[in-house]
Amino acid sequence: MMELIYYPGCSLKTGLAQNYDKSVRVVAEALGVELHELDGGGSCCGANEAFSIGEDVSLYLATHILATAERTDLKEMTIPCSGCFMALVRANALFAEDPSKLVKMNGLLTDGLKYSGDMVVEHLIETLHNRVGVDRVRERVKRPLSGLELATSYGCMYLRPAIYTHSGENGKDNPENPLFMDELLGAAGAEVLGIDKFPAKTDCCGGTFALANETLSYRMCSEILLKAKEAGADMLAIGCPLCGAALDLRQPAIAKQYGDRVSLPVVYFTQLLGLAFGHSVDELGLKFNVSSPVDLLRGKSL
Amino acid sequence: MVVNVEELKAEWLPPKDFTLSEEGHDLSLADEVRKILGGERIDLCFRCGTCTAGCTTGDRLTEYNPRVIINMAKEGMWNELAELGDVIWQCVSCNKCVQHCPKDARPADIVRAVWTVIRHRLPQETEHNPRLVLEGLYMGQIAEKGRVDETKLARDFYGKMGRRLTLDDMMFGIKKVGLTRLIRTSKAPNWDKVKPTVKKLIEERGK
Repeated sequence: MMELIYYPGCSLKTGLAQNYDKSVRVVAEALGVELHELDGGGSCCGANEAFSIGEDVSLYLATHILATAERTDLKEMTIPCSGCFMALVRANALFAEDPSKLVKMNGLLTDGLKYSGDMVVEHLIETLHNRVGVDRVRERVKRPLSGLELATSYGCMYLRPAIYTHSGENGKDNPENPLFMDELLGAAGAEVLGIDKFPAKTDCCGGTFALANETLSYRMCSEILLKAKEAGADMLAIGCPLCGAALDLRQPAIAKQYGDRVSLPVVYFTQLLGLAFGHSVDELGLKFNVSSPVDLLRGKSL
Repeated sequence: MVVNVEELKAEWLPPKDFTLSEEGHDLSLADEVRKILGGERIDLCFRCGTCTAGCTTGDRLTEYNPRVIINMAKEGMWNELAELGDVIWQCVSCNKCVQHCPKDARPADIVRAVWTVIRHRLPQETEHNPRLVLEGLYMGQIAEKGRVDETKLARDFYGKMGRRLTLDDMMFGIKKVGLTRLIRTSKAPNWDKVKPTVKKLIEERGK
């Protein structure tokens, strides 16, 4: 049994991506991965907002989480949210670049917490691809996703910038043409569009502006959805709750502005893996996806 | 041959109406940017424009041009920078510029440092900036509970901006109501021990 610390982050723990969280747990169990949730879900990573207002706030919030994780005897953590993933890998990278920052943050920690700088931080896509492996996924498939044409949207923070995520390095995903999610879903029996057919797979959804600048965010989402649909995708698979908030939750408003040509079911990649492993729509929280994937899945007898 | 050194020197004197391009510029601007974390890499930028070539916002809003913004900060063109108004705040943090910058100047981080300078210099003008209003609410939630509640964030933000809620906005609430049947907690564990430090760091922000 593989054991990892699991840091869900606010959106998955108590927010609008609890459907993602549900499917992550189902898939992990099916693949023999034991997820040890960090101390009641842990605290907020600070995301981009904290980083925008000042590096110290951002680093402190991240260090608090990493130090709490280090209290367990596990050395690796997996994160389904790209925003949380970025906040923690950035902290690790900035500490490696300038150890005085780590000293400063350790000085601010309370409750006997201390962080060494050594916690291995992975995105869930990478964990499933590299630690569990595509072969294990293939072995567990009970109901192949045959006849399902997928576009994959990797978004930003799982990949960029490489100075923090180490993408493009040995064993990591490619920041310009990522493939890990494609290979996992391909092992589950789906057809996944390559970057030649769907070049928007590393494009930004504007999630950071889903509230503060809807004009820009809706425009960016509409382009991703339209390109996926025009390339022949039945669905768009994602691996980030911020992409979920922008592309799924706001889709009714986007479609009102850009028309039905941008209406496309958006699902978390773990929801699709769970389906292939034989789990039900309810177990995977698929009813809570606003962009109605359920009807489409029924139409495909999945 | 005898060279008249004095004559040569005279040849190299600039013409009388010669002025340096930075005349009238506010040279303290770049210093301020340099002092803010992220801004210290501004001198690495050689204005190649790779950041702008791949800019997600710039593709859709031509007025947003990170190369020009960073150049204005470098050259101390404060008036021009201030005149950009709301445009400068439209970075979506996609980090394509940080990924592709050939000098690892981290353009998005420099732009963020410029924001901090603008906020310090123009506190009243930036008070109602949607991005900063949202950021304030977001950090307020973190400080209080160590967690962010997106539904409350949307409600508070629209309230503060005086934006009327539409039926589509209600999706936040409807989805949340459906989902909270699955799990229900709101405050991060042991947050009261962490809260004072976070509050203090937020108050010291950007200093």
